[in-house]
Amino acid sequence: MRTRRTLQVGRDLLMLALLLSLAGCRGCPKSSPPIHLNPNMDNQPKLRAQSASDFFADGAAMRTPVAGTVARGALPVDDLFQTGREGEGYVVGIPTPVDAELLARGADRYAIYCAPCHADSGNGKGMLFQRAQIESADLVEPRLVDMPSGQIFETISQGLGLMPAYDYAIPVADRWAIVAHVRMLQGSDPTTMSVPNGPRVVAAEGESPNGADEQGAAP
Amino acid sequence: MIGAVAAAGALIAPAIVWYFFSPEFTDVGYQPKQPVAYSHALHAGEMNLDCRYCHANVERSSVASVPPTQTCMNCHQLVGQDRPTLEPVRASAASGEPIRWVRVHEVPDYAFFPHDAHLAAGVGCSSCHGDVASMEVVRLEETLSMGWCLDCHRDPAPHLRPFDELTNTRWQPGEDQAEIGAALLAERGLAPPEECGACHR
Ligand code: HEC
Ligand code: HEC
Ligand code: HEC
Ligand code: HEC
Ligand code: HEC
Ligand code: HEC
Repeated sequence: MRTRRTLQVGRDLLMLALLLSLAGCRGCPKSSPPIHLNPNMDNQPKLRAQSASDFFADGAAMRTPVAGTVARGALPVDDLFQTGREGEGYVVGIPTPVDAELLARGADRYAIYCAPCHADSGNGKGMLFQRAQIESADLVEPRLVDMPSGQIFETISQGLGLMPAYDYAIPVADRWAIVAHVRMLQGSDPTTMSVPNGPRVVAAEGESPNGADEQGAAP
Repeated sequence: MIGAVAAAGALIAPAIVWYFFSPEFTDVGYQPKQPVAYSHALHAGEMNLDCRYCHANVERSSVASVPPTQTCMNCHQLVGQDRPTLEPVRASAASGEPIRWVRVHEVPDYAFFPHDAHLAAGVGCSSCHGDVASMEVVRLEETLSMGWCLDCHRDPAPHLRPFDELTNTRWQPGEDQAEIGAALLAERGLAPPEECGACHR
């Protein structure tokens, strides 16, 4: 009698275990949202980045800035540094001190934002070419070696033709670091191109630069 | 007899609570269906795109941000224009209506998590998100509970890595991680906070 009862309890427990195992396992992929047993104040009536909101007509919590809005710290006070231009002309050199730190930063950022299309070597045959036969510009060709640094900077900031603009992703200082790295890929020595305080050599569009760039002349 | 049942119950009830009420069960594994068949395994894994190409804010802001449609169009204006899988992306680019990605990782509104501070300290994405570059669809790998945060804050050394490995989600600590981690901890002068106000503010 006693053993039968124990067996019965055992069987019930087994059934319970089987039933619970139907409820899923730890860490198994599931598409139902997490359940919080005590949801107190988990969701407060505040809006977080990229969340939805019923308040605004477009359903998004984040507002699009009015056209022409300038973010704090983004006002171009130093034209040469912020835009790569002075008036109509592009700066030939790099308007920031070029040292090992800047070059390391440039190599790192180039690998993230440019290499997928322009390849590590700069020849324009990156991942996008290998997978989809879409060639980007060859950054080491003579035309680009002769191009003023300011014009390369502007291409990164504003894009060109099929190349998208990267100003949203790459802060100004990092863009100059990338320009320095591109100079290095082209076989120049960017450390000689720094124009922090010296004369702001500026070339008009298309004009072949002089001075600092000469060491970089292509074969 | 009743004693036996009660004893069994007393053993099983905590086991059930332990197993099923823990965020290991309720949260980990969450893998919602997304509106676009976008795959990290393809883009970040096979094509080796760096996380920061798309999650561009992650080093500069507390939120990593899911990329805007424009980021997809950087490439998809050039490739895959004819793919039906990309139709929602094209529609979003044309209308300006954002794609409604389903949020996977979220701490409750009363807690604050800063990405920039963790990346500056040298904690890589995979320490908290798992091997995203192998996932077809992003899955929640960690509990994101307070205990999980504090486990690392009390002993961060095993999770510290060189800065050039931050976004390598296949990074594994080596056998000498104990020494390397301790050295990095001292070198970077890290002091992860344990006081309540750092995360609840
Ligand atoms: C999505 C792919 C893609 C990425 C990423 C990309 N580019 Fe380009 N880039 C192109 C294409 C395509 C062209 C050719 C544009 C054209 O002529 O229509 C180009 C052209 C250029 C040119 C030549 C401009 C000229 O005057 O001919 C420069 C310089 C350049 N890119 C620099 C960069 C740098 C620096 C980065 C990284 C910040 C970068 N690109 C990232 C696709 C890309
Ligand atoms: C081509 C762009 C792209 C790249 C590269 C990329 N991601 Fe993502 N990521 C996305 C998009 C789009 C989403 C939103 C859809 C989703 O959850 O799959 C996302 C979502 C995520 C999420 C989940 C967000 C949430 O809702 O909680 C994590 C975590 C993440 N990415 C990590 C990474 C990591 C780590 C890498 C680098 C290994 C990476 N991503 C590379 C585009 C990208
Ligand atoms: C750096 C370039 C690049 C970026 C950025 C990018 N993709 Fe792609 N994506 C590709 C390439 C190349 C392929 C094609 C792979 C193949 O089939 O060879 C692809 C394929 C896809 C496919 C699969 C198409 C199919 O049916 O096979 C989807 C879906 C997709 N991408 C979505 C996205 C989304 C969403 C984003 C933005 C978060 C994004 N991609 C950003 C390069 C990119
Ligand atoms: C120390 C742990 C940790 C690290 C390291 C980390 N994340 Fe996160 N991530 C989180 C947590 C926690 C959340 C949820 C944040 C919230 O709800 O505010 C999150 C959320 C996200 C999201 C969702 C949306 C958002 O806006 O924040 C994305 C995308 C993401 N992480 C990508 C990344 C990428 C890419 C990296 C590496 C470059 C990374 N994370 C590194 C813990 C981490
Ligand atoms: C894998 C390790 C790890 C995990 C997991 C982790 N942290 Fe941290 N956290 C760190 C380290 C290391 C620092 C130290 C940064 C420093 O001293 O500069 C830190 C610092 C912080 C800071 C202080 C930032 C500042 O500005 O000084 C906050 C807030 C924080 N973490 C919140 C969280 C929250 C919330 C979670 C859980 C959702 C979490 N962390 C999970 C490693 C981690
Ligand atoms: C490293 C960041 C961090 C610190 C420090 C921290 N918390 Fe938390 N706390 C969290 C996170 C993240 C959660 C949300 C966990 C979850 O999703 O259940 C949380 C949740 C909580 C909750 C709600 C638990 C629940 O499930 O309802 C309480 C209460 C709490 N914390 C109190 C404290 C107190 C008191 C301290 C100081 C002794 C403290 N926390 C310090 C990150 C932190």
